[in-house]
Amino acid sequence: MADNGGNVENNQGDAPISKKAQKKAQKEAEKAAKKAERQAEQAAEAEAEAGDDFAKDLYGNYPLIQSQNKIERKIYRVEELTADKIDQKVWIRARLHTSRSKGKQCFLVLRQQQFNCQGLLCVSDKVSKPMVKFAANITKESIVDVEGVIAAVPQPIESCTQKDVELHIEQIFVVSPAEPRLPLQIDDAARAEGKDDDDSSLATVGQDVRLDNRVLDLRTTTNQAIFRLEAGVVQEFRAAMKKRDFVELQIPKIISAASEGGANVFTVSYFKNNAYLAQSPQLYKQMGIAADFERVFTIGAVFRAEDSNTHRHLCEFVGLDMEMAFKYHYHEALDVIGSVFNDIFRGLRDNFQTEIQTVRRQFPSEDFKFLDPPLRLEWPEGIKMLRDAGIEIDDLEDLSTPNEKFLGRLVKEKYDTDFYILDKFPLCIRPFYTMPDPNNPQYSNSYDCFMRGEEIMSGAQRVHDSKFLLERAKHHNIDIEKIKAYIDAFRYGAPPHAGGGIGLERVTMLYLGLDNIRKTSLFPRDPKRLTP
Amino acid sequence: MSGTSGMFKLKPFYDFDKTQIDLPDCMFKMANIQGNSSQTNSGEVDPAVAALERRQEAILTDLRSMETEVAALTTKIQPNAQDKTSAPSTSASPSSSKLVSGGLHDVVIYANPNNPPYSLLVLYEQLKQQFRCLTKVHMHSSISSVPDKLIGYFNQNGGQPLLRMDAQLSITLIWKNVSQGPEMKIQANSQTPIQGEVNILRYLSRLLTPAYDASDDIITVANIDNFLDLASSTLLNGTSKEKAAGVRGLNSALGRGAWLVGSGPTVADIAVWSALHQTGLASGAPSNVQKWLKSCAAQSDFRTALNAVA
Repeated sequence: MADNGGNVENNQGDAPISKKAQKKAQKEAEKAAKKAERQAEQAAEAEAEAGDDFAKDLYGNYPLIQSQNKIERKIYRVEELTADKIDQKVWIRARLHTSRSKGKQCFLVLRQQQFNCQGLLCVSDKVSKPMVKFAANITKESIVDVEGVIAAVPQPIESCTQKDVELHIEQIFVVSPAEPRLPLQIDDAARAEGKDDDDSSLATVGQDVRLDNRVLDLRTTTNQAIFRLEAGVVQEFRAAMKKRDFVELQIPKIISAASEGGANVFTVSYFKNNAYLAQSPQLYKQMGIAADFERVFTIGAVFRAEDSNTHRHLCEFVGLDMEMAFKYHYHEALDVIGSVFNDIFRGLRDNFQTEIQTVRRQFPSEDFKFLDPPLRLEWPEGIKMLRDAGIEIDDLEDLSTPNEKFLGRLVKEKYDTDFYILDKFPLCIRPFYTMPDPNNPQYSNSYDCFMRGEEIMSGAQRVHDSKFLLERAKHHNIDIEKIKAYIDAFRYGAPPHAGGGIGLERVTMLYLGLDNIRKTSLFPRDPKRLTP
Repeated sequence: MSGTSGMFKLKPFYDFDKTQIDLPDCMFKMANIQGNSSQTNSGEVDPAVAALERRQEAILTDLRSMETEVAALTTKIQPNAQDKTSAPSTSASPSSSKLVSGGLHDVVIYANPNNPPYSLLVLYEQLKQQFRCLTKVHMHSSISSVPDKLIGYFNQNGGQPLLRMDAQLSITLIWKNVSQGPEMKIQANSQTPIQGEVNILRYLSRLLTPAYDASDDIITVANIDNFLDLASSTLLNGTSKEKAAGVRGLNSALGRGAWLVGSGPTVADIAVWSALHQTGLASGAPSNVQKWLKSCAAQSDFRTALNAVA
């Protein structure tokens, strides 16, 4: 205060003295003096408050937790904050999603995985002013410990999952602070799609920004739900396999020869030679069959060096593969495959409704429909449906992607199902190990499964006779030397068998009706991305 | 004229078309009333007429191409003259021959498990006599469970199941929560679904006998239609009062003969029989109806269907 006053006096001395100027200067001096006074008062007040802040032990930053103390404290989950616990005092640990302070109040949104709730700090006899200020200044995405009383709200809070209650905070501590500048805002990343017209002014986050900052992106409620559901697919698949007495085998990922084709295989150096990353567990699970495991399945990474940047290709994905020996007809295996799929769909429908609804808030989709037992059509029927709809296609021509999708739409229209099996593919568009159809040599005992009009699994009865396999391989001009181990596996007798493989990411994507497979891969690998 | 043109050509001294003549524009412009003005006028005045003419031409060419198309089709299909005379009113396309000619004809029927269309079972028995028939029963994901009885709805009679590609007709029955009665889809993209059990019956019985509603005299056809409507609008969808009245009417109709129409069971009997069993009216029916139900049960195709009802 004194400093400022001195300055003003000096100015006065320098200036040429006129009445007007004098008056002006005087006024300015008064103003400055008042301002300084006010500042000093505030500072003093703050100091005083800090000095005897009655709530100073109820907030603050925790020291770095190095496991100093073991505190016995029941920590609730955000999803447990429901109307039946009103007036209870609870601790929660959550992320600070957003905070908004308004005078003596501060509203916080606390987020834990798929769930969030509103917290309220309000100056009172328990909550001091500096405490509200402290809470308002906690950076977004920091992890906080909060104690508060659950209270009912007059109107449901539409922006939170816990609509009926809010938490009146009495203690708040920062466990791990986040840096103030975030590369992406969680709210932007979680913004619902398909409402572009009315809120085009609001920011959205592009796919690449998301993937560059995947850890932050994965924190959105949507992503939390997507990956929980993906885990659910694996869980349901395993349960369905276990129920049917399948054995889980661990299959090598580094192999000596390209298993399918050879164009899209990753080469790795293997001591003095080259080795390849497995493009599918196909040959090894068949060897499992030849080794008398009867019914086998495997879950593991599969690598494809396909240089295609489409919405449904990844260079590394998780394959759910199964193979089973059957007695007389490959439809025995196909029936099992169909019922496994239905088990998965039913399990997801019955046990993962929360996740499905959470994802739908951001990416709206229709219920996944299926029939029990699954619909099974044959190739000529599919071709006929396409032709009836005006598509020109040859009897034995492979389905192009648009035709495949269109056929999916036709099937959905007629049979009202998002999942169907197309049986009896033409032999010429399938790999050499596919068993030809006994009645019509142009067709084969092979099948594809489709979800929402996109192929998710292709499988077949395999040739289990080594001589016939050799003949088929020669017919396809395949270098016999390279697949010798595979052919040898069938020389000492092998049961007739059939099977197929599913891509986990693709199933999740199509089940949820998402538009890009990168949304269902935790850290996607494509030709343009190897990090993070 | 020929003489002059044979000598040489003379260029005109003045080319009025090319020379710019500055017309005074101080006053106002007036349309040329001489020379080719009439020509331009006719062109300008009649765009409507010209358009009309063009349209007529287009229609005529369309008609002509349609005529040739139809002619080509007739040579290919060779419609049966007998069909034509016996079925004057309906298109009565030889759909049974279409079925015979190959390819699987897949009829998809959605039905509510609470109101199973029993008539389908009877008709399936009849269709089986004439075609290589295949049935598939599915449960839609929108419902959680149906009784086992409904999954094994159709009587398979054991034996080697038919290969899908060898079958002519396939009935795919899907249990689903349909509110407006059963629904049928054949060509999903170019057809609106056919709703109601009796309408499905009408379609399927035309598969059995393509000219079914024109084969006998028109009165029989009208009578059958009358009973089909009775089954659908009164017995299945009517109020309880209407239902009671419907059953009374049925009773008096059956007083006149053993069967509803004519001297043997028709699609009318199937529809009414199914409606009575679905609504539970069969148990408390008056005497003539009871008698008729008994004679239905004596028929082999009704008998197999009855297993599903019980």
